[in-house]
Amino acid sequence: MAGHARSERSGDVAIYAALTAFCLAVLYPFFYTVINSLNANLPFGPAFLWPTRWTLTNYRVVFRDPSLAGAFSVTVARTLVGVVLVTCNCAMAGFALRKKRLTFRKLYLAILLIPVFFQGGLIPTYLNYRRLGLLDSFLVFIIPQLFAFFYLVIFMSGFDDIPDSLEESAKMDGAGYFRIFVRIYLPLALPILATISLFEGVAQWNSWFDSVYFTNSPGLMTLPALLVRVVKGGEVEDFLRDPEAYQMQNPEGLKLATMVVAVLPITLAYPFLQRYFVKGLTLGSLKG
Amino acid sequence: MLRNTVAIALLKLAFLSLPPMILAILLNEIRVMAFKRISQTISYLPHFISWVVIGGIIYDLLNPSRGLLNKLLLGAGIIEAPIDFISTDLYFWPLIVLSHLWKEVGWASILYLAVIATIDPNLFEAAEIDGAGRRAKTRWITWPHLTGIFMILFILHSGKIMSGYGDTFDQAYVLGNVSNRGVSDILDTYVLRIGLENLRFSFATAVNLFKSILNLGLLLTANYLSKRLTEKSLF
Repeated sequence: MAGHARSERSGDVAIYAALTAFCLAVLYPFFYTVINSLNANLPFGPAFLWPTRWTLTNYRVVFRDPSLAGAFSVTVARTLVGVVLVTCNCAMAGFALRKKRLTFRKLYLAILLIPVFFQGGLIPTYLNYRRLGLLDSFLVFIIPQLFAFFYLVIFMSGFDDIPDSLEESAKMDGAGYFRIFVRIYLPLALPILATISLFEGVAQWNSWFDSVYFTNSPGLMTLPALLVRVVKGGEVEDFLRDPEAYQMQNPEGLKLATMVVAVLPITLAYPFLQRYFVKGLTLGSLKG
Repeated sequence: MLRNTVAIALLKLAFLSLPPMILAILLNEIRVMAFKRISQTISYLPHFISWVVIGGIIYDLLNPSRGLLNKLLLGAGIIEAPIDFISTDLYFWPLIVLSHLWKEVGWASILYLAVIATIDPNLFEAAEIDGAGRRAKTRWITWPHLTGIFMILFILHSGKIMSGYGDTFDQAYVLGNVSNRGVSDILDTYVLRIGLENLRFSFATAVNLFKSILNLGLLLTANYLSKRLTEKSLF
């Protein structure tokens, strides 16, 4: 037994050391990005541990840039509208489709499941959007996302935990389905609402493909779409027209500052929502 | 592209399936709850950051003239001249697999942690009374409980081989360039290029449909094989 305990203790040390190393490896690239976006000496070589000369110029230039301000507001708008509409729509679908006595319930679910494994493909999607008038419109960010099978499953399994007797007694008191849904189901499924909101919020915030390929107007460029251009080169030249940026000649710093600005809202919101999503996610997947 | 797609997918299937499970087992051994919670929070974080940003960071860290990796390798005397990792064919696939591992391993461990949490604690207690140490408990209790979810994830990922396993499109789009196209071009980036950039709609649709059918076939095959061999399956 004593030998056991000793080997367990050295095992513990190894586990803690391995996990600490892992966490540092995960964090370092973000740390690197932040310190170098604040490092005035970046053009002479990046700092690896601490900025050699501090500067806020990169952020001043980035915040002053009109195309970035526009992209930022489009992204905020699509995230807010998307989260509200997508979450509501999937919650309503979950509420309806978990009713065992719904006619053709199995058929609806089967039809909704097909696109999970077999999609039309890029070009048919594109042509479809064109016919529907979604191309180059703000709605292309919202309407195609309105339903997701994964969210439906999470809502359905979450609603399963709510006893039917609650619904029965509400019905006796004269409540209709809509009232039951809003007054009983939604408040009881708060952790799931938070989970889906987080998932959809992140998906909307990070989505670049639709903005790059389904829209043309500069007014519909989202932050990640702008970032694609920054990262793949090109866009930084526009920033350099700013006199202060021109004087500094630090395009890399501007690139890093743009990335930090794009990531910051997620990293700020994430710790607050985190305690919900683990519960919501595991609930959906284990039962589903 | 077909070769690149399948090669990247198989590499990812081989190297990304086990680490989340190992991470979950390690996390589960942690008794200091604050440490566990903080390392979990950190490990999920990159999942929420888009590949566009991660790609930007990768460009910087791997930059041949000023990036950290080249500086370290040069300083340690492992290489003599800086290497342009992103544009060199030899390093592109490992880069794709490793960066995916770095970004998603924490997130993927959630499912395994959830399964571990459902294991009856009495099993562990009984094993302890019988003198089982940590290794024995992991091998004979935790491990068998995890194989079911492992197989299900394996089947689901098999159905994405023709898409390069998942996330590969974003990676190939952000990190791909003219000089690494020979190894970075996958079916999805090819369809995008010939379809929306060269406007050859019907050909691109055909390639895409071919891809979808193969994916579905692979999913059903993996599901069938898993049902026969391990009695675990999706449907």
